[in-house]
Amino acid sequence: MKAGIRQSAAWLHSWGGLVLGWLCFAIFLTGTLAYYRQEISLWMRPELAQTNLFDPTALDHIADDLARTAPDAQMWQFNLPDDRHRTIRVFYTDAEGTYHSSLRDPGTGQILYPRDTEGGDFFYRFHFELMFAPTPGRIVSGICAMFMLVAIISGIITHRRFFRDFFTFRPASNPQRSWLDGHNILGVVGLPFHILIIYSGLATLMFLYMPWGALVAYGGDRAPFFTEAYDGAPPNEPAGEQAEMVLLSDNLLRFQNSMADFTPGRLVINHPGDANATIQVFASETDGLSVRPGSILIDGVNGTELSRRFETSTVRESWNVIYGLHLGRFADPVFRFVLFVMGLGGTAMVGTGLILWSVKRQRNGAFGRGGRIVHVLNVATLAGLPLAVAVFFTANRLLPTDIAGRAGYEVTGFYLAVGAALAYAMFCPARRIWRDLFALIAGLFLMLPVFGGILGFQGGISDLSDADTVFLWMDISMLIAAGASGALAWRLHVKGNRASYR
Amino acid sequence: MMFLISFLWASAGMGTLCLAMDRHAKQAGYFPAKAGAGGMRLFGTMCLAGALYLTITDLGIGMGTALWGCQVSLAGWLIAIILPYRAKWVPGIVAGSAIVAMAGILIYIVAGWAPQIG
Amino acid sequence: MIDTKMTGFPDVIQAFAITSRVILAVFGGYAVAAMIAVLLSVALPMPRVDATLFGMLISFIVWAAVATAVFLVRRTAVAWLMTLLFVAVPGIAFYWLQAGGDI
Repeated sequence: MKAGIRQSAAWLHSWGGLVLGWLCFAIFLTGTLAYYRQEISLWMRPELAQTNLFDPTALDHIADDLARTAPDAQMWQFNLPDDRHRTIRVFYTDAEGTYHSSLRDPGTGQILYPRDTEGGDFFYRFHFELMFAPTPGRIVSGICAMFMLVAIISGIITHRRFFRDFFTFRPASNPQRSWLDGHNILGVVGLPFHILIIYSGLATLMFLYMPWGALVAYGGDRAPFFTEAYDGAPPNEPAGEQAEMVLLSDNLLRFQNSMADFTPGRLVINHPGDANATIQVFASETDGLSVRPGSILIDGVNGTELSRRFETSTVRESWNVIYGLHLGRFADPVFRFVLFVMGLGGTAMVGTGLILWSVKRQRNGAFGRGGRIVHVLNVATLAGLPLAVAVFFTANRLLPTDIAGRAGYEVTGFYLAVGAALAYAMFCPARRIWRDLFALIAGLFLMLPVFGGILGFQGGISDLSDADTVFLWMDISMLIAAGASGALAWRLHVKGNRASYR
Repeated sequence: MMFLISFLWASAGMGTLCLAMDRHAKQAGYFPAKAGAGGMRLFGTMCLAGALYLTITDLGIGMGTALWGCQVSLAGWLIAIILPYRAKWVPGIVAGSAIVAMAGILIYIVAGWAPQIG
Repeated sequence: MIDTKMTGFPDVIQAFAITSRVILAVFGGYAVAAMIAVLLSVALPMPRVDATLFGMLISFIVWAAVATAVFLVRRTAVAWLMTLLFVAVPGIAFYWLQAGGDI
């Protein structure tokens, strides 16, 4: 029975991994990049680098502005700036319920107009929506995540020498052996991270994937479930009469004084300008693991505290912590880098698995029909996606800042790069492809820090005297990426352009 | 700072646990003594526990455990990538990490007491 | 391959057995997970919101376990029976509770 189970688990792990591996690789890669979502967004909008320091009175200016320009708004939300996001993000819903958003200077409250780009949010959204519309995309990524859980279980069952081979890596052995060693080490040594990330990823979208319990327990109406799950205050009705609101800056300072352990993260103002207006000051998610650390509810007209909540039930706290573990918003720069490296490890785990498929299907350096399909898709994903990232960044730097729809063009560049890699893999002999593509990736990542200098932008390695840390680290990271890609391309070149994966 | 010291402890721990295994001890160039393996495993586990203690005192239970898990994985990957190329370095790395980590803790303790002395 | 009893059979039946296992793992596993999530939301002795959240959190582990088990059992028929059982038992428990039974 034991041999049968191992065999079945191996079959499940490898065939399931093949069918869904390319999507899983994309999910892992974009998720890893999304750890630096704010930094990438800032790098892609260098105009925002010189914003002022945060002044709470800016909130009052924004409130005046919104009262003038959007008097019928039902809700305002101000996301306060922090170390990673340097502007005030303002959202409001108008009378029809449509969302509007703007970026505001943290010192003056004036609207900022950076270049039109999706920035790091592109990777963040691609991570759970892939290239599809929101709901189908989330379902597809959910299926991938569910499969990854199954892959972990089946992988553990299949792996015979779990502890004996824990540190075993034999790069000098035959290709199948060394790629398998690499895949095993990346998977086994990183197992706590992988399990946690995949499970918590499913948990973040569990309202979509598993709504049945809520529907049954709440008799078909899930709205009260969401309010309770998010520990929200029951919504109050507008009084219909106008009233002047208290100053937001005063309430912010009061919040900071009354809860010394938490920094304020955002403010939500319900029914602004109405007699029943409320201001809810939320603690920042960066203080601890939980994504919902607590809030204070204040009467919007007279400023008295209505309620506060900083604790919740064990189940809700557990869910908030699981959610928070996935997002990683709690991480300081060092911890964030650690998470990034762990994410790269997971990406490489999926990648080595896919390469293993190609290696196994080679006969004398040539592929059969199925092996050819696997090879082409491997190239399009494992080389094509990093190329697409490089092209995405390059497009951001090369496109003029004021043309309409430039955000769409950057995204198109991303997909075109994947398509180009796919086409190149289909029509050119396998010998050259990996080397050529990684050389191209290296070239692009080498040029990007240089573009900044040519285009006159300060703040990166091209202008060390005025270097902004985010731009400096992005430049350094790109140089490292260029180095790694280039070294890989060089090694492939030196090995004589053989198609074999040694 | 605490991150660096706890990572050094994690590296020392993973390195020791690795060298406690016969095949890797041979890779690193010495013939393993059967009696030594148990002691090495104990020492390695204590190094890992020490790393966990440091991260928890620095970041709290939740974040501390999360960071520690990542550090252990990173240390494991580091050892695994060094072994096939420079296996002889591993005992040195283990010893060096443990020594630097202990020195780091001593400095931290002394620096913490300095205001009371001065 | 997985169905060791099927080794003598023509390829098309093997393919059918494997396909049915995939369908069973994906949809049957989902049915089991959903059933258990529903049962837990109404049966757990905690506030409604917490029971629902707990049911959701557990459901993914259940689904992964069932999906894996579907592929590990020797005979496809056993996999089908097992899954149907895992759906039926919580289902019966749920309906019994809804009809006013006590735990």
